[in-house]
Amino acid sequence: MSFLPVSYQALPGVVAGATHYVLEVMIILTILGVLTFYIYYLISSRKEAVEEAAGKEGYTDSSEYVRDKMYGRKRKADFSMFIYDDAKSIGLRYIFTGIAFLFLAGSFGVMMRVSLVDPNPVVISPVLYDIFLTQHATLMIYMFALGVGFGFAYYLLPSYLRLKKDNMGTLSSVAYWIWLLGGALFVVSRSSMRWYMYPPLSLQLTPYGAGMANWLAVIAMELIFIGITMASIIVLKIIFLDRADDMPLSKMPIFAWSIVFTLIMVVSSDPPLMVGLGMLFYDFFNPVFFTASSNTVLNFAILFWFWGHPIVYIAVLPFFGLIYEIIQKFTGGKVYSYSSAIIGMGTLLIFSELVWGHHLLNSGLGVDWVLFFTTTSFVVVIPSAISVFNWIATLWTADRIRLSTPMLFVINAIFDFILGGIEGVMLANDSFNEIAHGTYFVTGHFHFIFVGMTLGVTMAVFYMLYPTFSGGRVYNERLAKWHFYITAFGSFLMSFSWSVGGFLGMPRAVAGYFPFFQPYQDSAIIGGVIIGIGQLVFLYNIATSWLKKPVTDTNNAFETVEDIPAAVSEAEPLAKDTQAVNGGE
Amino acid sequence: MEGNKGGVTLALVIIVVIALGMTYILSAPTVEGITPTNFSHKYVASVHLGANANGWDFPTGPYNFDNGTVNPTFYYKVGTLVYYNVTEEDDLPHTLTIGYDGSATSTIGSSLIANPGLIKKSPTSYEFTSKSYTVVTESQLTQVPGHTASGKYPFQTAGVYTYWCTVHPTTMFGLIFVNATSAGTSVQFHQLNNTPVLQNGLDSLNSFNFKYQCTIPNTIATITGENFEGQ
Repeated sequence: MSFLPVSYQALPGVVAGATHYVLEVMIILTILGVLTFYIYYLISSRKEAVEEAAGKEGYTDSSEYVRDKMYGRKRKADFSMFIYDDAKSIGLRYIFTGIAFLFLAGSFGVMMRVSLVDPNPVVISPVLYDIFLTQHATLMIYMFALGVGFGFAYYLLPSYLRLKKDNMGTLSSVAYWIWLLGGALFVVSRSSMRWYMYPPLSLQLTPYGAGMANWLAVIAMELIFIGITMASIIVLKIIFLDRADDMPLSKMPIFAWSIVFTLIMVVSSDPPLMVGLGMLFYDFFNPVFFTASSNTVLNFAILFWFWGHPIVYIAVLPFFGLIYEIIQKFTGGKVYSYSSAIIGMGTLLIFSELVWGHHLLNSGLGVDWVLFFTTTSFVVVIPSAISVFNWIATLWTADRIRLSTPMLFVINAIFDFILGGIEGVMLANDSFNEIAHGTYFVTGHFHFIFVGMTLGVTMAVFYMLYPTFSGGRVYNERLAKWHFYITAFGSFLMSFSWSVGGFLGMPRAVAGYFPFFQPYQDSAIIGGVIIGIGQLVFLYNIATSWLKKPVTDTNNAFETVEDIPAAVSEAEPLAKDTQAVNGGE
Repeated sequence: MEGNKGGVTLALVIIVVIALGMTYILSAPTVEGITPTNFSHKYVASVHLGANANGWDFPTGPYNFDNGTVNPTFYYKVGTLVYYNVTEEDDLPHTLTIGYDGSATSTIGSSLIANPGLIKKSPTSYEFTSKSYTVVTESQLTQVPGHTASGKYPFQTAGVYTYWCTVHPTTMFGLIFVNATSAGTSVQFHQLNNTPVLQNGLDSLNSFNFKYQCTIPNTIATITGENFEGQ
């Protein structure tokens, strides 16, 4: 199929029409329904056992019984995380769902890369490319980065903060399912409106517009927002009201602080876009808001970026906190400066609300506002540099650094963050932004940070928690090292090629390119495929090592026995019925 | 506690998720059913057809379907945007689908010109062509006689086209010839008895409209300034 300025070169065998679309959705929903029923069948017997046991001990609410029983225990990953709603089970749900979406959105990304082997879109059509682009971006940010961030918060904070009680499980569970439903519906919508949903494109319900079911994508985004807002408020409540009495805010772990800042950003910045999405949805039926003659589509862009810049920090800030924690574990010392860590991340929270205009520097905001946003964007360097120098100082002053896989991921994350951060500062310069804004330079900038930091630190924490997840198994260190080296090399190659090509003017977010840019695209394709292969190594490692016998205890570096007061009760065997619940092990 | 399949389950779930997601996205409707956005047409025409399982009915007068020509042949200039109004004459499902068979000099094109009956002998050779486009879909029609649905098709390339109904491909089919020669500003319009009627573009539109009471969906000004996506 050649490039398609001429129409009617339809894909053979594909039949268009609303009827077929509905049929297709029905088939997929049926498959999902059968799977869900099977899982329900698997867990319903366990649920009955739990209810019986809860009744014997006088609980009317079996969830409360589970939360009391599971409280303070290190939590193994199995199917029961989808029925239990103690904080750790919720955390496991978020972590594993996030990783599933990482692989889904990652496969979309690899597909996009592969489709660019030729300057003309010969592999997939431009419409499909746009869909992959939208899905990759949205799923990676909202389902992977946010999901894993929430997962680590729910999983680690009960141990870190020695919670007094764990009583918001049902609401957390509801928030999780709403969030997951939103993510699933976003895939079903096959929207191609880009992750920032600008009208009037997002109002065009055609394949060449934003997708036939783009209205569904807008609903899906609202669901995601409802889910994350609920979860944010619950986690903030856990941190501020439920932590142990002997833990003042000034002694809270840095990770808890990073979560506080992240969630304040969520609850303070997402209302504008939630309102904007509601107006956008109304515009489908009665276009009075953004496309009316009395209004401008720039208003939506402003509503979006008021949330859109904080979400970028939301996707990295929990991982700032995790880097601080991991470095402490692998150097055996304390972090170099606790207070500057908190100040650095806290200032980032303030600036995240003040720099959103740098996404719209070319939209005609006026010189005054451009100066304001450019200046604040430059000032953001200070809190970021505070964190970077704090990490470096912690490593510098350490007696020895253990370079096992998680630490390698963290060091690579710091390296990539510096590179991507410097590119970000360059982009904050308005005169350069005007040239580079529409190019792969921007793509290279945020992929350095997202692949290096968000993905890398997620993998580091997953490896560190793996013995607990798997009930005492260890991953293959050799394969894990391969996973690291492949991912780090691939991500550097891909982002660096994009940065160089973008500097020369390679336009981003399009299904083709000028043949002049072939070398940069080709090396980025190789990099992207290499990242994909690296994640397959990870999956293989996890699958095979989980099959082996447990060889160690289920402790992990994050939640040692001393950290958890209730872990004393681990000496007592669980009640028999609870053992049955846990799979009879 | 022996080996546990937790990791394998995770891997399987991820593989299933990727497979389902990829298949679903790759099967998205893309180019089919879409008129091009950048098509600048020179001529506009309107045709009113009666959808009848016995053959496409071309009315000879206003609301006079039964005495029409069955499966007429049409002639257009390159660059003509044709509005199709399809009125249902029976209670059966129909589509109006148009496919490009090739240039008039290609094998299939010349053989069709020489012997239009060929298309009746092997309907599948054109029915599943990858370059077909359904102007009026099955879901636009109601199986209620008298109901009319509309669509449009821009003829951008010279050559031989076939129009047919995918439900009744052996009876409801006909040929469309699109002429590339640009002599004059006329539109070669539908013809009866193999004699093309030459008319000026706008005149032909108006006279045709007047003569057959066909519905022109928009004014000329709107049509020329129209964005063709999302019809």
